[in-house]
Amino acid sequence: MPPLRLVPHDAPRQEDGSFAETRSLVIHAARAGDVRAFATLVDMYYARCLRFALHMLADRSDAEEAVQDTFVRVYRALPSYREQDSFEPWLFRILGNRCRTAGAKQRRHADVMEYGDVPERATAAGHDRELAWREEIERALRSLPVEQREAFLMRHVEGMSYEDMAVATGAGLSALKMRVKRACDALRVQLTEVDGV
Amino acid sequence: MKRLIRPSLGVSSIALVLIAALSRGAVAQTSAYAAGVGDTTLDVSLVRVIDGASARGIPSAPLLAKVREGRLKRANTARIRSALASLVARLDSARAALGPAASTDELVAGADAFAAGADATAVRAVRAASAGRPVSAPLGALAQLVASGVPGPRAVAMVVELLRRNASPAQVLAFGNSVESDVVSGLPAEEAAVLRLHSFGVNAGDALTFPQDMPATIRPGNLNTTTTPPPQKTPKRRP
Amino acid sequence: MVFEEQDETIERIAARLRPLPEIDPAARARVLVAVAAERERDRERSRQLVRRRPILIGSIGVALAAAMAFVAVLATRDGGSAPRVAAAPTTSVPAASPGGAPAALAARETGAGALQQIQLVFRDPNATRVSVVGDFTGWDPTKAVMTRDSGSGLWTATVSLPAGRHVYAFLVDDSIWVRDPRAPAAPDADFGRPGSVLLVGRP
Repeated sequence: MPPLRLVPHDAPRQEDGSFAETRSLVIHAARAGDVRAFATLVDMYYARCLRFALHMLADRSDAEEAVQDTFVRVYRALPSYREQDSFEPWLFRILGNRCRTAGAKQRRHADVMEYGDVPERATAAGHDRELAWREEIERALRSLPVEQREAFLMRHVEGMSYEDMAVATGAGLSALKMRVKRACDALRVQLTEVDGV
Repeated sequence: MKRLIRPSLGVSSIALVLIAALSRGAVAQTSAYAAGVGDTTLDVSLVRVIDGASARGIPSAPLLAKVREGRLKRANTARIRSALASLVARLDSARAALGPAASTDELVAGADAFAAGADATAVRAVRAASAGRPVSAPLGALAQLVASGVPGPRAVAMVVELLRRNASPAQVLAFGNSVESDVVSGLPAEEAAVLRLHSFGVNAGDALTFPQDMPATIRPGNLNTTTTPPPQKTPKRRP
Repeated sequence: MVFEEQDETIERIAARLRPLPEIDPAARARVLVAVAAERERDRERSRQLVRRRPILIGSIGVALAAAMAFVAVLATRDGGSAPRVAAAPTTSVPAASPGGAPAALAARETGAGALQQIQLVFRDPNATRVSVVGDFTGWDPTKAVMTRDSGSGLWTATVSLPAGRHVYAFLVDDSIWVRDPRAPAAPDADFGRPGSVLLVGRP
């Protein structure tokens, strides 16, 4: 009897395709009703969606709810999703809609920042300064009109192309570039006076 | 002074015949097991374990399968013997909980439930709730729930509730499969179980406590006091 | 004319906004519960329709497939129409039963429904012999020997399984143990050789 060799299935495996191919396979299985595949899709995008929603809504509970609604709508809409379309703009179109709807209903929040990533290496003084700086950024972001905030986040935080942003927002390229420019102008004016910039 | 007894020729002959017959029986039994395992070098210590279990009425088929599994996985004899002994112990426990009339599949399902972490009280409770119907499907579901992380008493109450509602074996198995699948997907075990139970028309509250009409002798004592509160959390908002 | 903003101030602002937030596991779980509830509503609606189509079982695949193996598990109910390939990646699938999985849970005599034809597919162009082994074959490598399609190089075998939980693996050239990397692992406390979980029968 020959000795048994084990394929190291738990060892690092070689990639068998790009991230996009991976995502395509996940979507394919999720469309077939595979709940685990959909869970994988959630894991692939939950953090990014939550980041966007938190910056749009400035409230963790509202943001989580918007993301939850987004994924439920994605699940419902998957059968109509065409694989030749780009997934992320499609996802962010749904997410953006949910955030706009949630934002319209949202009560005004106090300046309590539930969300904040404090650098672990920061000193106490640095910690305070960093936190203050982050709060200023969030405050400045919230002061922007929704369309400008959305465009700024998609462009400079999510790193989307203007073409993808056009799909995600339904706005034209020129309008989007103008929104981003105005957002940048406003942020620059509001934040250049703050220590740390 | 030790007395030497010289056996008569007749006694010697009978003894020899008996020894020969027993040897032939042992050889035949070993050969049968070896054929079942597909390995002519089956260790005699494994044969003894299987023989001992068979003498108590434990079916040999699952034991031979365990030996085959071990051989296939290139385990050494000591490890196979250990695994075999564990399986025999679980089958013995299953037989004690399910009764002597239990089928091989029911005993295997019971042993699986024990392996997953269920206890004899739970197995007996499912047996009682099955009311004479085959119990391997509900025990399979019980094992899946417990292995997935649903607390034992809750798992028993859920399976029993399904049985009380005359769920078919296929439905009971589907329930266990769905919960296991959901847990693999990342759902908390109890939330998954409650959700799946709901899809069978059972509200979580119905399966919180053990049915009062269950005979006290088999009613788990701690079913009414779940250590983990039932999840009341539902999706935050219906989209 | 609008120019793209690339200045340092904007970049420093954006850099503060880019860190991904911590994820509350409960919130993520609520998403999955909400989606599962949605799926249940779908199923409830579709139960009213007579369906006779393939059912995809378990396996959702991996982006990071085993170096030598690609495995798909397909199923049809009662020999229905041609199965579709279930192939979708995941980065990692947690073991279903970390505490030690039960072995076969099939209810063979319980009237748990008709046997389902499960087609298992395995890809290894260099293999000379591949068997499916599992609790449903009694771990006998001669019971479900796979056949190779010379064109595609795929090895296939069809097994008839009752509803329940099954554990299986592939034995390549009688010496290589390959578990399906796209299905949940079935821990093996006895021999330390995990298999994969195949769940047959869903609502």
